[in-house]
Amino acid sequence: MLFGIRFIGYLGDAKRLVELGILAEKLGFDFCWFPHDPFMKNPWTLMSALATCTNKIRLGVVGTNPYTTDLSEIATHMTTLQELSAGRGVLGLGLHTTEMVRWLGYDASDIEDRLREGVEILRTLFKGEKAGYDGRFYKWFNECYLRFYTQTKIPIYIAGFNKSTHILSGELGDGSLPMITPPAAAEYVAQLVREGVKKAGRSMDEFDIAGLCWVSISRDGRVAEEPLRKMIAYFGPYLEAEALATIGLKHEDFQGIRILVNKGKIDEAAKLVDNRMLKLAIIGRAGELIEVVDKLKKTGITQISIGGPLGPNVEEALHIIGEKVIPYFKK
Amino acid sequence: MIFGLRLLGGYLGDTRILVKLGVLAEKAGFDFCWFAHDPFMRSSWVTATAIATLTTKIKLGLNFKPYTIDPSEIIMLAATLDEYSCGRCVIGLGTHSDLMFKWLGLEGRRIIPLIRESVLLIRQALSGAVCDFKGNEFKWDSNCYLRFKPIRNRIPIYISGFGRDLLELSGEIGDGSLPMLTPPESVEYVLKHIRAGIRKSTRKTEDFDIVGLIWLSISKDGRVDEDSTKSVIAHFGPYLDADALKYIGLSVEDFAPINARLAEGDLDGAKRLISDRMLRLAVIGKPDECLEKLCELEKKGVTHLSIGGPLGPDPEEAIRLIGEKIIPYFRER
Repeated sequence: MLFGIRFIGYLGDAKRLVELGILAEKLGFDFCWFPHDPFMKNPWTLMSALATCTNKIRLGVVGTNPYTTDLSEIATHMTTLQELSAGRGVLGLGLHTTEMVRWLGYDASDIEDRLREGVEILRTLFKGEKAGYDGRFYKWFNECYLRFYTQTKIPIYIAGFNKSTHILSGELGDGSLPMITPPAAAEYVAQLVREGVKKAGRSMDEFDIAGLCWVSISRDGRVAEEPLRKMIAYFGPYLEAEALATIGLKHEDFQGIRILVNKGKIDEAAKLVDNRMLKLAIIGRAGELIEVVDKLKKTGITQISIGGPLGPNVEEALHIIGEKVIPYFKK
Repeated sequence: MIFGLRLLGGYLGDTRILVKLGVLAEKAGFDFCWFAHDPFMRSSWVTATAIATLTTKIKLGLNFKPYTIDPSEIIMLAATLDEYSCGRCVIGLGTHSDLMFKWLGLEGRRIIPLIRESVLLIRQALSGAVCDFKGNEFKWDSNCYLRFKPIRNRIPIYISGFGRDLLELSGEIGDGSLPMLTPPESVEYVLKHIRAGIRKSTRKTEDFDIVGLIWLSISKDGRVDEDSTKSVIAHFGPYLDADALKYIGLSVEDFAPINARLAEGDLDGAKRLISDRMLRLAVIGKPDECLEKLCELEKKGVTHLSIGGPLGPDPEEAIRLIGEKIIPYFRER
């Protein structure tokens, strides 16, 4: 099992997030992921900063979308980062919801076909080849090729948000980045991703299913209740219906929350988060997290990307994971 | 005079070398570090952030092409770098040519409304406002607002442009302008249009920062790195402003054979076609020879020099030379 940490912008300012990334490397995390959501802190800045301060941990972005950033920018960003970090960059391309890009006027109903073309073009560019292309979305001339080149492979993981995009992630990606909120949804998503991998005629041995979960952990079991409720209020309404159903929730349960969040009333929305909704996250002490990760492993999840509030004390949470949880699985 | 170093993503070395040069620029007394950001060259956003980590004073000019990035991403990138660098971020927005974007099939987008609306949205979002906006290029709903408080609610926006309309726009809506001064002799033409734009706004010319982008090759003994200088001219010459080229008797057509060689991937062949006249696009020579040309630009009204191109046969030595011989000359007067 690989261990990733995922830092959402709510955890602090940019310098603090970078410091937490440095700590994560020291504590043995394999990956540091940064989400790419509209109007949140920019992951590319944070990855670049962390690349200069670390030398082992892999640096991944979750959910760079092909609407707000052209593929040419994505390619140059990743290749430049690759050069700076000596080959530690990982691209997480795709969406976990189409709704947020719709705020910006992008319909996004064509995401699957766009990802297909996008991945093909990016792989050509990453190989240092000319990427002339005559597709439905991209019509590129032969002048389109990177004017600099890095020999290390840049893995492309795909973020999906429904049955067909989970399958697509298995089919196209080097890895998949499904939300496993709640963790009970892991079996459902892992099965779909495997279906995609099989469809592409590849082996699961070379594929990484990095399940994205929300965690609040502490030595005494205290929960970071306020930030957790706020996060669930903000992101909960965008979670996948099939995943919610695994703990008896449905989109309608988030209707009141969604209305308040849309009005910018996040504190009031957080008060509507009920105890069932708290089950979207993994909460407790090291023992509880180990138990859940063990179950996730059995479903076929090969990496756990630990995000959310992390705990009432974020540094303490990282230490608990680094000192108790990771060694348990690495042994 | 304000001094900026401009790091080209293709010719000076890999990203780690660019970062080293940026750090050296701070030590040498440069005020700004700007970055070129051209399609399929190294990404300025990565390099700027890496330099932010290793410096404390120098301002960092991010460069954005409105064809390839949505203003929502510009807002996030700039606000995050500004936070990380303790308020040292500056936004450069625009383009010096639309030809490269034809490669990507994006030339159909209208650059002036793209820049106008992007500037409006960036300023609005950084001020903390909700950007419910229905423009010609962007249609945003009421969910569009920054989810964290930026450390400054106004990050300066400099507009890069070519041609009369864009130069004028830079004066009208920018906090500064980023025109190419290649050749330096085109300065009066460029300033005339920027000033016309400033007159359309409510600001005074003296409050406006005109950043002249030059190509420079400097060395102690006047040695020129002809290979690098010719590479830069071969690669970017075909995209220069026709009205600016005229000042040294060149035309866009003069670059057609060079462009044809480049399209074949024959950079050496393209370099062989660079004439002595074309070398005049850059400022070349010993420190005192360069100084003379830079003083002329100051006299005409340039307030800030963005020194890019090959820099010199040894870019590190060139940065040190500028720090020792050029910058003190302007500061000590």
